[in-house]
Order: sequence, then structure tokens, then C-alpha cells
Amino acid sequence: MEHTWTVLEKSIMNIKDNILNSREERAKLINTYLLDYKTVISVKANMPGLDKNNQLSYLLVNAFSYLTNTISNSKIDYRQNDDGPFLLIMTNDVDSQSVKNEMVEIENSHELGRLIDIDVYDKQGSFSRGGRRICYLCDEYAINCIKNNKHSFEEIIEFIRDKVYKYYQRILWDNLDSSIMEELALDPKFGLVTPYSSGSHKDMNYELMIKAKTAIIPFFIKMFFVTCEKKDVNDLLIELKNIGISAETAMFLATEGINAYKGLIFNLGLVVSGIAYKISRFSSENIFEIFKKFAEILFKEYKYRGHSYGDIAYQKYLISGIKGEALNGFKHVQEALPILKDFTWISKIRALVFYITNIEDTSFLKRAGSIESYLEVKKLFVDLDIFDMNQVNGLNQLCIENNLSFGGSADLLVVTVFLKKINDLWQFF
Amino acid sequence: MKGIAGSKESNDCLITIETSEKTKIEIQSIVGAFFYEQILKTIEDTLTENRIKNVLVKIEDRGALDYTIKSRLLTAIERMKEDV
Repeated sequence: MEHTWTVLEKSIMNIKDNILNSREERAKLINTYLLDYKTVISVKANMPGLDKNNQLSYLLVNAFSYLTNTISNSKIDYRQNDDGPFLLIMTNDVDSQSVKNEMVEIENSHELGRLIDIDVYDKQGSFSRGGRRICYLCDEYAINCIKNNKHSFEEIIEFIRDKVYKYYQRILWDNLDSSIMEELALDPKFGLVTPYSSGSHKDMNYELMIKAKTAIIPFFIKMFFVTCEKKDVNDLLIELKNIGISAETAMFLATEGINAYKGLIFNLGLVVSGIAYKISRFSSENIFEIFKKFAEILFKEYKYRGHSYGDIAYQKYLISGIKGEALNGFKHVQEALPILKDFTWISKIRALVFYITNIEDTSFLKRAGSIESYLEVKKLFVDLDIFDMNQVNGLNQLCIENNLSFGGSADLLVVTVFLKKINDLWQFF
Repeated sequence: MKGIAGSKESNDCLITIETSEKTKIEIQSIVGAFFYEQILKTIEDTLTENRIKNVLVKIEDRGALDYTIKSRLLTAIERMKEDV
């Protein structure tokens, strides 16, 4: 028994030593940056216990990557070691004195500010907030509770998890909802459903889409957190697929059997999970490479031998539709992002027309009936002058009369809006 | 001979130790008013355990836990011994 204890104590001592060494390493790294920069800001999670690298630490630190937007000409460095993940933000434009107060203000006012430490460094030294911080759980000074072991580890972690999850839940809900709405509100939209028209979809309308939207959003959020928590990527994708199936079921229940957003569940689900993967691990992989990797695992054994229209299109014309797009790491989304400069009508229409003319959209192919008319209609969009409202309205009318629609393109427009919004927040490309 | 260990980050401390005529401990801490005695005792005990005498120990504490203070001091002692 005594022996076991000694071994355990030794391994705990080792972990503690590693954590302390990592802190010294970070201090050295900051000093190195101070050779080139006037001011360095470090952001790290205030995480109790020996596992400084749990997913909560990453989510916490990531939530403050936006700080680099608020500091002119700054560079950001995402790092991690045994003391956990941390951000370093470097600048020459702002002196530490003026940043210090702002950072204290953020620690005090940001919803997650209490859970992080922001330290500001310049060549003269370091600055941490004056005054002691209050405990997470009671009214005492935190240092008293820590030194006296007043609260259990589990109690503190639960408090942190609750705050972090609520924060991300809200950010995700807002951005998912507004991204879907940016697409849905667009009108006219070439046979797609808008607030004023069912387009070529006799069985759908705006209200139905809203119901479907509300039904599926919680599942994207679930995908996000599962991706943060599950370490093994293969296991993760099995679980994501199951959540996707549940999302489809919830959608069909809400719409009484009408497929409003099946394609979107796949596309946006993949994107939300890829983002979660990147930020919860500080992965250095390119975000689009992550989407591609996920799609490759998902379709590893896929042979296109099913009876879905997507599979038939592949067998007949080698058109791989959205699966192909995902397996390409959303190549066209990467091209559309600079087209979508903002969320004005003209930018969104331009991005949508880009997708209609460039991607392989099997839901459009199905409605076009033949590959010939599919290509013919695409040509009409290539020639379309979106600044000429007569042309836009005319083509919209033609699409509705011929029962055409572009579900695949609409899905990718939502994905593009979402990626742009989230990237403005967390900068990952 | 001199040794330095630690950092001035939150929840850490920076410890400097150097040879001196007699043992002296200087504590500068953001939690000094509450934990001065505890910090002093941790440092004195660690020095005694390792039979270190006639040193000047300076600690700039940012709310470090006892084991952090002890560990930083031990490292600083090692570095002092290596510093010739």
C-alpha cells in the first residue's frame, strides 16, 4: 500500500513539475516576443486541477481570440503546453499602459472574464490586476478558498462547464439562426422558398422552413459539444452521423414529412463539427482540410450504390454532388467566401449565382430532368446580369415555371454566411 | 552564486536566491496581508529541509500555492548551485 502511494505521489509531483516548467517556458517565450514587440498580452484559462488541457480550457481561451481584432496591428499566436492552452497577442502599436485597463475591464465585465487570466507584459515587466479576485462559488477571496481547499474540484469544474457551455450555446444558436435566415429571407431566389414565395416547392412555404430551422438547430449545437469532448476521430464521426440522423427525424416531425433541410443538416453539421474540432484542440490543420478529413472518414466505404437521387446521378453522370464538394474540402465555399463581402442582397445573390453555376447540385439535376437542360439552365445563370432586376425576375419566373430549384446551392450559401460570421468572431482562416 | 525560478504570471511566483552573509527572506506578495506567515514558513521549512543557510531569498508572489512556492524555491536552489 505504501509503495502504491509513493508511486502515485511521484507521478502527481511529475505532473505538477511539468506544469510549473511549462509556465517558465511560456515566460521565456513572452520575453522572446518582447524583443520584437512593445506589448504582449497572454490569455489563459483559470482552470483548477492537474489536467490543464481539458476541452473547457480550450473553449475558454478561444472565446478571447477576438481580442486581436480590438488591438490594432496585432499578431496572434495559439499555443499549448502542460499548463494548458494559451493565446499570445503581440503589438507595437499600443503601449501596455493603455491596454492594461482595457484587459482588467474585460476580466471584470465579460461573461467568461472571471474564468480567465489576462496578463499584459512590456519590457519593464508584467502587469496583473491589482486586488484579489472573488471565488467562483462563494463571496470569499478566491485565494483563501484555494489555499484552504474550501470547495471540491468537481464543484468548481461543474461551475466552469456550465458557464462555458451556456456561452457557446448562445453564440452558436444566434449565428446558426441568423445564417439560415440570411438565406431564407433572400428574395427573389430562383425557385427557392422565400418569405413571399414558395417558389418551385408546392409542398413548402416560409413558415414550414422556420419550423424546420428551429427543429434542427439544437442538433448542430450537440454536434459542436460532442466534437469538443470526443477524442477519437473515428468514434466521433459515428456519433456525429447518429446526431445527423436524429436531426433529420426531428425535421421530418416538424414538417410532417417534408424534406426542408436534409442537405443543410449534412453540410452545416460538417462545418460546425470541423470548427469545434479546430478550436477545442487548437489544431494547426487548415479548417477546410478538417472538413475534408471528416468527409473522407464519413464516406470511406461509400460506393454510390444506393437508390437516392444522389447515387443515381453519380452512376449515370459521375456527378458526386454535395459528397464530392465535402470530399474536396468545400472547394467552392473557399472560392465563394471572398464573393460574400457582406450580407447585402447583392452579395448574397452573387454568391448564390456563383454556386448555381459552379457546383454539382443533384437536387437541381433531378428537377432539370436531363443533363442537357441542367447545363442549359446553368448557362442562363452564367449570362445573368444580377444588376438588371428585369433579368433577375425573368430568370426567377422561368425557374418557377419549369419547377427548378437549387437546394444544394442554397445550403452552401448558408454555410458560407455561417463561416464568415464565425470567422469574424474566432478567426481561423 | 545566484538562482532564479518561476514567473510573474497569475498564480505563480518568481524566486531569486543568492549567497549572503546571513539568511534573509524578502516577501512581496499580492496576498501578503493574508498569507505572509504561510509563505514565510514554506520558504523557511524548505531551506531547513535542504540544509541551506546564508542565503538571500526574494519572492515576488502572484498568488502561488504552497507546492508552487516550494517547487520554485527548490529549482532556484538547484540553479544557484549550478551557477559558479
